[in-house]
Amino acid sequence: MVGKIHVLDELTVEPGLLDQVRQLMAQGYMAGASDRGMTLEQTWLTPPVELFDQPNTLVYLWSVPDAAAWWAMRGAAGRDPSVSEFWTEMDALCVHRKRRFLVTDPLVEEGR
Amino acid sequence: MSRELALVTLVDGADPDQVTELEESVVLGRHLPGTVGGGHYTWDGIDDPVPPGFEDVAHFDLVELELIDGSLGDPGFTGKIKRTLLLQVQTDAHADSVAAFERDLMAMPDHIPAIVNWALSRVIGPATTRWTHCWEQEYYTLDGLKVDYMMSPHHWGLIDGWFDPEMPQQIVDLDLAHVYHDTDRSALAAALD
Repeated sequence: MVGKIHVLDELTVEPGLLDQVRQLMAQGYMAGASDRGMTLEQTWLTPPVELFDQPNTLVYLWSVPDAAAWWAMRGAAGRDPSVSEFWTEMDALCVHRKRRFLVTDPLVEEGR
Repeated sequence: MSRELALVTLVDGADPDQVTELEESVVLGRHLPGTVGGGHYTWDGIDDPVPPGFEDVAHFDLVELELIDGSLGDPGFTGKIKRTLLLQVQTDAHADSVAAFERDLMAMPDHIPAIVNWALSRVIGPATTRWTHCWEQEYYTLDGLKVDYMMSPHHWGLIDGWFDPEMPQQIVDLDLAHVYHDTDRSALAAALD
């Protein structure tokens, strides 16, 4: 049985837009994400200094407790048009965006 | 070779006697609770459609299907759940993405043994339909669908990215018909024969 699921958002941003992206994430997404059961675990910046001539990537690590909570999150986002509108606005600021889902390696847990 | 499938929606306040008569006279799968977006029944094209005398049909969403691929794990399947997903790939989706989406769907049975029989089809008609694909499975139990299929990491961790409005790779419209019903026969055995 899958336990805690991490949701990893990677937002690659042109120089000069980091503050705008951070602000949009804080004001346009975080409260709703919390309402949908997502917990913000960590944020990172890579490379670990703001660049002026090439993109940086902001990384947000979220979690939900299990697969049922994942579907609750997914269902709530699907029913709320403002969520896809948020990502459309965010994508206009990003040169690349990726979302991945991570679990504790089940093969290791199986002893492989 | 193509085949037909329809989702049948009754009018509000349909005459109960007529509904009973309908259910006794033709082979329709009555949708179970949890069904989304697909009306009251699935007609799998293996018997007569709703008879002309039955007037309490609000919508008869007929599609013509052309098989992409499928498999019969149990050609003699005698129940219990048939599930149909009608979906619309967005018109601006890149052909490579559509091909990858179809491949991912068809890999699901490799990861979810509860899927007994399955078929993936393109919707090729009628010209007015909004649907582009039909993804069908048959299961021995309702848990096969609601637990094994829905809770599989292959489903939520990979496949759903094609459907999820939060994912950059989404190509499937949110307007879906996700329907399932009890059955005592395999509609897919006839379709894949």
